[in-house]
Amino acid sequence: MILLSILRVGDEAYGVPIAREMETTGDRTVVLSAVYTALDRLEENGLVSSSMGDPTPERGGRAKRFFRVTPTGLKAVRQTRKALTQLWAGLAQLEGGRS
Amino acid sequence: MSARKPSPIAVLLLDRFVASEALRGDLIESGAERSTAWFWHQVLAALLAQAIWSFRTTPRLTTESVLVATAMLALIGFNAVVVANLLSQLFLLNDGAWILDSGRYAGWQIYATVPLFAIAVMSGRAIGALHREHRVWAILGCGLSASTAAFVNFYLFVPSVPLQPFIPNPAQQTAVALLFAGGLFMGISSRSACEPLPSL
Repeated sequence: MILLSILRVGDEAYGVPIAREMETTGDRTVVLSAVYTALDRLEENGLVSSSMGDPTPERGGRAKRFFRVTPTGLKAVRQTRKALTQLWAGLAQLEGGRS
Repeated sequence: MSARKPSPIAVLLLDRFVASEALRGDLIESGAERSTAWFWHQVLAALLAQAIWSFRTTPRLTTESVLVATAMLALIGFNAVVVANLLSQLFLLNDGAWILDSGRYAGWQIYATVPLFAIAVMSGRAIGALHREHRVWAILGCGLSASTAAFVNFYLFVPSVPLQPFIPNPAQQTAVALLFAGGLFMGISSRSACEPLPSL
């Protein structure tokens, strides 16, 4: 979900818009520190890369950290979509939008 | 929606304890558009995440740091309580009979801890601002503030202090003084280059 949110936000993907995207699409409150914990793990695994931006006054002079999905991350997203599509297919309980 | 300034205490906690500059900035940026409850929820979650991360990455160092800091604050707190008790005895010797009326608000001490901590942080910030370059004055200021706070605490919350055993409820009074000392150092370290009193 985080990888998809970064892709949807695009070049301006830092913590705030990523969390906002997750809140909007997931319809739930997101804890920013949990997002950063997940992003750090994704970076350790080479699925995202990050770079520090310039400090801005509205953040009290604190810099933004911009995230980008790496080619490995893109590959992982595609593989996950494929796996989910296969798992989804043929499940009678999920047909017709009823729970 | 107009931008709101986030709670300075929450920002202070973030700056002191959360290592990630980007996360701190994100929280402050988002806090300007969200409710106070949302902001505090996020700040507490960030502090918890930082504590877990510290214990996971450097368990021994973090445990030692917490124990040493607690022991140091408890020692300073106990010293402040001893000084406050001696002061109350001194007042009685010099016909300060008013000290016998102490403890008018006994039972309210627990509710006073929050304002006490806020006063400690503000006092620490003032000491840090006034004595940025002078460590000795900062140490003396800290000691004086902690002892005064312990004395006021005695006067307000402990009945007939001078007639009681040397230190009434020592653990409780030391815990209160420890809290004050912690707030004091948090305040002073937010404004000053002084290290928190390793030599005391």
